[in-house]
Amino acid sequence: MRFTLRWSVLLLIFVALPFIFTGDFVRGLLNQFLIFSVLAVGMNVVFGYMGHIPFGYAAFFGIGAYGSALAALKLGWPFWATFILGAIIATLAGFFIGWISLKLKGAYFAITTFGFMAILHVICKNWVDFTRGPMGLYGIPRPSLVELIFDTNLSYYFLAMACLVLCLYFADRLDRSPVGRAISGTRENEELSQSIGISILRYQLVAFCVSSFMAGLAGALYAHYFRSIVPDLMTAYYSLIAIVMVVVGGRGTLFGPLIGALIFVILPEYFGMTGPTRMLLFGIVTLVCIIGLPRGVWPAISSAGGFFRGEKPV
Amino acid sequence: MKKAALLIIGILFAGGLLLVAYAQEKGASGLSKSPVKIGQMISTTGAYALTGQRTLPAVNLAVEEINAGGGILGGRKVELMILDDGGIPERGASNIRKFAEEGCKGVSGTAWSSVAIAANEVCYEKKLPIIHSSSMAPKAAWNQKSWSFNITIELAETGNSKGLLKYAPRPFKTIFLIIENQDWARGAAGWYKSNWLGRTAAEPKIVGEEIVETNQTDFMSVLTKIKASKADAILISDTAAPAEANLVKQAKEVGLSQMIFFVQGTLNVDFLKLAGSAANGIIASETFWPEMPFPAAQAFVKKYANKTGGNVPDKITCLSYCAVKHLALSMDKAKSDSNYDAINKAILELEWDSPKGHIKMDPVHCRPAGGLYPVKAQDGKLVLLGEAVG
Amino acid sequence: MPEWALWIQYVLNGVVSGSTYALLGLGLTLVFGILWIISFVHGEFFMLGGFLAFYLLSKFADVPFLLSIPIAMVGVGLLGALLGKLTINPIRDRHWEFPMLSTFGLSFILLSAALMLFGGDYRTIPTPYNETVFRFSHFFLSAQKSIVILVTILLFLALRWILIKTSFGRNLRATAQDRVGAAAVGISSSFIYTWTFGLACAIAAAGGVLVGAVFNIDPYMGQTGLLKGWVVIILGGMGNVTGAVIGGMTIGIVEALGTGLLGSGWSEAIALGVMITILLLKPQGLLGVKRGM
Repeated sequence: MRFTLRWSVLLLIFVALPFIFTGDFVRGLLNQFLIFSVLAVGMNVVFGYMGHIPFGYAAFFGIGAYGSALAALKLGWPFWATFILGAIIATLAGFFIGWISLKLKGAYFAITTFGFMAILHVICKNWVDFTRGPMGLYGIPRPSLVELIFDTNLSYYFLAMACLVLCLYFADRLDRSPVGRAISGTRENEELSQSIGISILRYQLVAFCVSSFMAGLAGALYAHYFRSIVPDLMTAYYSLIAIVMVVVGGRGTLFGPLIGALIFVILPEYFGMTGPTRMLLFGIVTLVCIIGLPRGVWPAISSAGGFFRGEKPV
Repeated sequence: MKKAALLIIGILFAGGLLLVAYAQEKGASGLSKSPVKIGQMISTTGAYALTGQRTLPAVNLAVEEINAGGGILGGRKVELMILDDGGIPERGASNIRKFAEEGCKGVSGTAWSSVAIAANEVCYEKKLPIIHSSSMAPKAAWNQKSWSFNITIELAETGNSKGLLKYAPRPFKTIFLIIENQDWARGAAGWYKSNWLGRTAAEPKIVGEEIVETNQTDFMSVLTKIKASKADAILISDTAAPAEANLVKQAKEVGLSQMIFFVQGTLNVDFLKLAGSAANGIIASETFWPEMPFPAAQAFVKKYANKTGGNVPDKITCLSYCAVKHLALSMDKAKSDSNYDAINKAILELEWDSPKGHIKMDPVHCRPAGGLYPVKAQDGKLVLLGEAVG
Repeated sequence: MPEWALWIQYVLNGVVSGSTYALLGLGLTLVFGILWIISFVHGEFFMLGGFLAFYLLSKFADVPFLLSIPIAMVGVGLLGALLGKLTINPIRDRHWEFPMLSTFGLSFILLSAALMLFGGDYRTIPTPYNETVFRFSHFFLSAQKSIVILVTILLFLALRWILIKTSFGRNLRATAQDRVGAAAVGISSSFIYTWTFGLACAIAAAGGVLVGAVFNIDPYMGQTGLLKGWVVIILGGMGNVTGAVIGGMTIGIVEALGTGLLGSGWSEAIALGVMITILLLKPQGLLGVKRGM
């Protein structure tokens, strides 16, 4: 019962937001929020549910962006095809990288994925004939479906919102499925899972692929929204942003990544913080949450809510 | 009695509010001299943080001068709204939205290509005229419906640095290229390759090409390779002052004796400071430098020094000043602050004398034609070598 | 220049750059090997060392360059110890990603502080040794770069001595092997965490001074250095001090040779490829993971 209530409230809020905030700047922020939320939700699948940190996560983000952009620019495909293409290529990369890396433990896994991302970054930057290297791709068309072109902030918002809701739904289903149950074991106790052996690996690979699919989708959304992309999408910055959004927001929870995206994408923009001050804010918020709120903001809020309802604190 | 008094006060109060609202309405409709807002993009973080910090006094200077001269569009003052993008494209894009929301009528842009491209997209959407100070950002969607301009010439298709050849201290047959892995640098080098080098037997032959990274500091291996190649000359296409400086200092260390050329626009103040005597003898072409021996340039340098307590303006500083002025003057010429097509037409047609020389846009490339001078580095300063080469 | 001499010069170049990587790796490997923390902030202390030396030498012109190295080490080392005590100690018992993310947050704070305090200006650390270049036969090596190699070797030997001969070092290694056991015999893990971190930062600072004198300093120099540091310690074996030096030299030489063969754009990819290969084939690194040596 409460489950469907939460979803209804969430959907209601999402649908209402762009009508409450009608200014173009804020709507632009909302779109950014949605895009980075998708990124965060994907990270949550690997990090929150499974307990592994993929430093190389941004690779899938970049692959999704480039895959979708190149298909649109060079092949002229419609957006639903390019989105899916971008996400699928990202998933294939995820399969390959995951298959190799998931055998390794914690820190080694993290750095191996990072190495793959760095190599992809170098390739993207140097393979100028294909990706235009540092010059980047621009003029990426806004998505269009027959007569309907998603070229305003409002229309794009609903497209991105649909993607986010889909991702949230699948993340939730995954968590409740046998795959999810299996991998949450690894989060709690790495050695035990290692001893159980190969079958866990299969489940982890599935989750990793789901995560990279979402990152790829986020990348495609990014590419078609900002309409220009550069190889720097495949760098540590975007991985770390995703990690921090999940950690600060609440790892392993459904809405945690959204809160994380809210804090990191919207707040600094809204208050017009730029440059070093913004970086300072990031650092301080991260530090405070790590030390003071280890489970993240969302669990803190929801347990506070429970407290008010008379439930026992967790 | 009390009720009546309250009623009267209430009516007076409401009446007063209505009057105030009406007056505000009147004022906002532009009947009075409301300022013309222009959005200024700036990057104060990121690899090129320094340029952003230096541009601020220059663009403020431009605005002060315009306003002191009576403003534009019938006495209206120009006002800048300044936003930092930190070199990140997403923020560049959202900054444009913010500019639009806050009523800016035009945008003075950036030197960062990736940010410029993202910003252009939004400017096209919002129908905001934009002039970039530098950046390789091409006129991506130029179809005579959407425009993006650039106030500097040093882009691939324009400019003809071939004239630079006659200033080489001695003739050379072979040349080695060092190219920064960045869009501007790659583009500039690409132009040299297709217009000046290696096409016929008469032109210098390219015997090697090395790509280096923007934040690379160690060039020993690249330079050792050059030493072994015995090339007569080296062409360096790099926009990052620390990298440029390390390159030439290490070249000295490796014992290279080739003559060194820089591509246009990269022989800047920061590089000269860092490289010291290692920079002596390097030849390039520049569109503005602090020792530029023309009255307009020197006047600008003086004004900038007055404003900043002795600082020296570099090329991007000057270009940002020019971009703001060109935009404002174009609006004045178009007699409108919101007619997109008219303003862009004015930008194309406007001619004026700026610190870096006479500015007139080339209609095909949406950048000013001409104004590129051959220079040589000597003891931390640039020395003019001759007539404009492009 | 004959062909063979070219390759030897490449190797020589590689040893110099490798030394700077080794310095980064030494500190990182301490933090990882003993504290089991992936540190994101190490590069920032590297950067701060360079800036501290710069301001010192600019203000007091008669301080010899070589003296600025230990001064920077002490200054940054103490700062590192303090920051470690504040941000890492309190969470050292939690799952490993917490200290790691803590260092990530700290790195943002330090980087933004550096940007705000020092600005984006480009600077080099003044040193008299850059002008002298030793040339012998076909080869060349500047005096400053020789100092880099020498200092690296000195610091490496000093670190080994600390770890093996001093009681502090013994406590360090004990904690690395069994923290609970070490605590049981009276070794305060808080003390170890604070001062290991401080020591690592001090070494990083030395690297910053040397690199700043050879090249230049800027607030972002820590970020680029960090990745190299990670490749080095993976290669050498996490926690392995000797491995860090060997790893650093190896990467430096491989990169230099790679540039000679393929061009510098791809040499970075080579270094990364090496790292991944090691991770897959021998994750313990060339010399093996050592908990505390």
